[in-house]
Amino acid sequence: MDDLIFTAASIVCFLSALAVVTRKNPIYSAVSLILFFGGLAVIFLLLRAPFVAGMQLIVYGGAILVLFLFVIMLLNLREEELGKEKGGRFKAFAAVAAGALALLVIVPVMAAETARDGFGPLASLPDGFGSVDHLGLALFTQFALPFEVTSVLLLAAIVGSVMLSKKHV
Amino acid sequence: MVPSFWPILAYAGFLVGLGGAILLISHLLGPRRHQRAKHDTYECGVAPVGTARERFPVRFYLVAILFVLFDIETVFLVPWAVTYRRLGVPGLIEMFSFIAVLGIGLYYVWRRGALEWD
Repeated sequence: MDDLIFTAASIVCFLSALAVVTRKNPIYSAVSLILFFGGLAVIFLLLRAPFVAGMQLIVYGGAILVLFLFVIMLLNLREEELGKEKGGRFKAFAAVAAGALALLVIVPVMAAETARDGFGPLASLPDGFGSVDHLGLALFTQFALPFEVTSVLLLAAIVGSVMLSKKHV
Repeated sequence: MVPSFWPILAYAGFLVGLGGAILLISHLLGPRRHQRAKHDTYECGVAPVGTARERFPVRFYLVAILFVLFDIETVFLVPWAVTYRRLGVPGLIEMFSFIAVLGIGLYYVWRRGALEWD
């Protein structure tokens, strides 16, 4: 059953991600991205991470997507500007960068799988794994430092966004 | 799949089915009357001025990105709120220093006048 749902979610993710990069109109790309986030949330559910799945939908599918749409509308590209093709060098660079990123994910996963002797069933998880409860305990004890550093990252983002969009004052 | 997720899946399936059914039924049963007025932006009401492809003021973007940033702060508050009794005083200190750093951000945003509309 897990395999079936995973396959369906992966196909949705793959097709919608393909639509994001192939649509000429950036609004369609952004809307396809919503579908992609939905598929990703299903995969998080399969990984027994319901809180992350919910946040994926609320923060990414809701708030961040609205931000993307805002940026698209701020730039306000016209039809003729959208039609312009970027040069081959730009595309080649994008392809290399995307390929390198994909390798960064695939290589460790494959290494971990061979170390575990192929794609066996997952080890049995402790009770309540992935619940908000467990997540909170891990986040505020084991991962306390990354959590605190996140606040500095958010502060930098707050200051940066104000600097960028408020020239005067 | 964990059995407790079945209601969510059933609910999602129901929503997709309902949305599809509403679209399909209104497509099949809805009357079609073609008139000039149907091509207007508003069939009745004020005549629109200019184009819909207006440039949005950057203020909207600022409000949106500040919302997202403080939204993420709230996301971290949820797991803390669920576990704060077991985390005790260290957890309290952690969360308060997290909020303090973001409080500096809020102070900065406020002082820079980024919360004002103009």
